[in-house]
Amino acid sequence: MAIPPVVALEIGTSKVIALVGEMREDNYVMITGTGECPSKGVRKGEVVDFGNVSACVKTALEMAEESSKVAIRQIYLTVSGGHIQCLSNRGTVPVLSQEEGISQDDIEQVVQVARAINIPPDRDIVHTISQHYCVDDQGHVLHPEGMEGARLSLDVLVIHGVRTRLNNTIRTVQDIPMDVSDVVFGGVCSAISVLSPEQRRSGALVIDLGGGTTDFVVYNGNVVTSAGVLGVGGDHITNDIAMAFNVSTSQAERLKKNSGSALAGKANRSQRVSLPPEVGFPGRSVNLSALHTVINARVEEMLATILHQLESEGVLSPIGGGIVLTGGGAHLKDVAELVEQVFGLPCEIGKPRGITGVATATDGPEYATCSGLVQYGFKEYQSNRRGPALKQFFKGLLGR
Amino acid sequence: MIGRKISVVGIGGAGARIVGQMPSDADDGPITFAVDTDTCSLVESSATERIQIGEVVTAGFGTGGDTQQGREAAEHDTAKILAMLENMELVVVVAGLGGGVGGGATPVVLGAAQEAGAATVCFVTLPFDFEGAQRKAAAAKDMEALREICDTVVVVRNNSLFESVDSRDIAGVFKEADSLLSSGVYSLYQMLALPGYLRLDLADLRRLSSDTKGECLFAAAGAEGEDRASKAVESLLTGSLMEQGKLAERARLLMLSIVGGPDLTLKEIGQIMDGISSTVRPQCRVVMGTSVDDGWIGRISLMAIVGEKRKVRPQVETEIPQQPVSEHPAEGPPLSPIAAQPSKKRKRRPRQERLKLEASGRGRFKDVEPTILDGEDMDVPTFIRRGMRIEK
Ligand SMILES: Nc1nc2c(ncn2[C@@H]2O[C@H](COP(=O)(O)OP(=O)(O)OP(=O)(O)O)[C@@H](O)[C@H]2O)c(=O)[nH]1
Ligand SMILES: Nc1ncnc2c1ncn2[C@@H]1O[C@H](COP(=O)(O)OP(=O)(O)OP(=O)(O)O)[C@@H](O)[C@H]1O
Ligand SMILES: [Mg+2]
Ligand SMILES: [Mg+2]
Repeated sequence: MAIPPVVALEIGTSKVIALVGEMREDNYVMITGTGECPSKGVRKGEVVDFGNVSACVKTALEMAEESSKVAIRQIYLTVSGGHIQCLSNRGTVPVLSQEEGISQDDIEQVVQVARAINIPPDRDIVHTISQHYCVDDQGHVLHPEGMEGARLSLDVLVIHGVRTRLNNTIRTVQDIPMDVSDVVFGGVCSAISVLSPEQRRSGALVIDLGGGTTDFVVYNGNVVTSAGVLGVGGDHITNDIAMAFNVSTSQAERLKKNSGSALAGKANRSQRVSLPPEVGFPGRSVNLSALHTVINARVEEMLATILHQLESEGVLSPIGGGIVLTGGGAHLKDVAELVEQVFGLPCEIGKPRGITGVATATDGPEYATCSGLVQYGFKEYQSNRRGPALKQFFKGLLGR
Repeated sequence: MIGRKISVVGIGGAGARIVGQMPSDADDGPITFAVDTDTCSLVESSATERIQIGEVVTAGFGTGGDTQQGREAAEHDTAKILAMLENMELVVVVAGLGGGVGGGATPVVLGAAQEAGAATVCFVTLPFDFEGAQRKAAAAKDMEALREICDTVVVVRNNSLFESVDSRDIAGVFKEADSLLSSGVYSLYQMLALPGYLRLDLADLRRLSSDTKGECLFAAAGAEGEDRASKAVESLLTGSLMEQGKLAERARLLMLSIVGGPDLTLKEIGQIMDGISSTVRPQCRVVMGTSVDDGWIGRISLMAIVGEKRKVRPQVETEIPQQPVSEHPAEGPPLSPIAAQPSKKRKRRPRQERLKLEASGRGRFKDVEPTILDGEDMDVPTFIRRGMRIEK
């Protein structure tokens, strides 16, 4: 039986995008359909206007149906927003039989215990990710079965968010009506899309510089070890520019994309860029070096905030694979250089991996989230055929 | 943080003297404690509460610079210390490092404060050059012990402190230097105790000091009369606590508190911020807060806490105090309280000045829920919050 196509939907702050993927031989994913629509009614990654968002989503899905010739009834959905956070939890159980060593029962038990975590009542768990087992005092055990010991522990990372806000996004899609197969944190999707297996193993940080949010995910030893969202994104850079030079938002956006830089002090102090006039805003010129200073202050602050959080969690020390940037903000000039300065780690711009097809349209960093979600969909399908384990994490969230 | 309990605890001879100089009365200002083994120093201190520790260890005398004894004295009386810190939410500790009590008892008091559930901030003086290498070495060791337990340690070099006062007789020098330091600590209290738009909170301070691995330096200055804003900022920036301005130039982070009377004008705040931003490097993060105290008519006090270096990557996980350490904390990183309500009206309670930034500075985000991080509204442009000057 052929594997059914996967449809991925990202309701971003700047764009709503739908991708249809089909699994080809060699585990290669082929994008057979795309739909994209400028986003209206999304702020900082969260739905604030149902009507507008729902219209955008319909447009994007219709375009995707048309180009892929697939009838879309079911989609995978990404979520983001400044409310999304992670925390680690450790579950410990006594080993049932000392003589026989750790059994499959013990392992199942410890998984249950580690997952039974107290998060505030207004929050839902989006992902529970097993980190590693400990047997007595021996940490970082990957396969405890058969080992001898008195206690078995499991560390899990839980990614959670505010229920009502997650539901706002889910509900918008369900009301179309459209079935939501699964909900995945956008940062995780971006990481799946751009990281090489080697980077996932030796450690890497993915930062998705979106329009409304900046999502970040740390991979290490093949699992996600930290994740979070900063409710600050490219829109903030644009807003800062608009306020600094008293120009319109669209003029500011143009300044950012055409003349911006994440590094201050590169431009000649007297250099100016001119802006064509616009309704309500006369044409004028802006000091280029000052423009860079405004952008630099904002982006440096965003990065330093992430650095600070990850440092305090202690998850940055073994990052062998460097930093990968995704999201539209990765197009910002010199941004990788600034990231290297702030983090002291090598940085590259991410490119969606492992997919082909309508490639040129979707190989920029701003498509990483959605194309990663397509890959996630196939991974989940494959592991569901092996066992139902993955599915049950999301039951609560989808309210079914 | 109004309605919360804040206390300032002076430890050892230096701490007791400095805290004793703090403008404090029973219902305005923080509760001040002096803690020492030495009964003479306690008798002389005008702190609200005076606590003798280690009576059985030193029989009412000083320790003669013996840190071990200082520690034992405090450990002997942890019950007393815990009782004194009961229900406190923030404990500001002031001590002279190099002294036996200042160096030995301070970590114990900080530990007790944390046990009592309070957040801690620590102001310490480093010995004068003339006190000799041994004292300096002792102080450096004390400093290490402090960093272990408190992540917000602000350092005051006695040498610089004393250069910045001009008085001829030695007693006058001490008195002035101590009052400069105590008014600095007091402005920290004023700043932390008040909610408001341009306010600083503990998170700012904690972040500043953890960003700089505890290498935070303190500077304070004040001025009265005409031109007080420009005079105050001038003397802050060029004073010896700022190493004649060199410190400001090196600063990566600068937290500035401005305290004035009801007559404090926006223009004055502008002058001060201009002075600061024209001196520090453009990359320096400036966080500032203002508060208005009715007793400060005709004068302005500035207090700056300056971080120089970026923290080196920590080998071990650094822990944020105040946050309970739990296997699964119920929430993510703590957001600072956005607006605490005053518990009751007080007559000389300093008021928070509201600064009206043009169109609130939030621009296109004015209708959405603000992104507040560590008490800062991230929707307001970074360059505005940092007080950077932008050429149009
Ligand atoms: N700024 C300031 N520093 C002081 C003052 N008195 C002492 N110091 C400094 O603080 C250090 C510690 O001195 P004390 O506080 O007197 O010592 P102690 O903690 O009481 O300990 P012992 O007297 O040794 O038991 C000294 O080395 C001085 O550098 C003061 O009045 N003002
Ligand atoms: N050349 C460029 N230089 C700077 N910024 C750019 C450039 N191109 C796009 N951007 C910015 O990228 C952002 C959009 O990125 P992206 O498409 O990844 O966002 P999104 O997925 O819609 O939003 P989010 O994930 O935050 O909800 C916008 O802020 C846009 O200004
Ligand atoms: Mg996105
Ligand atoms: Mg003494």
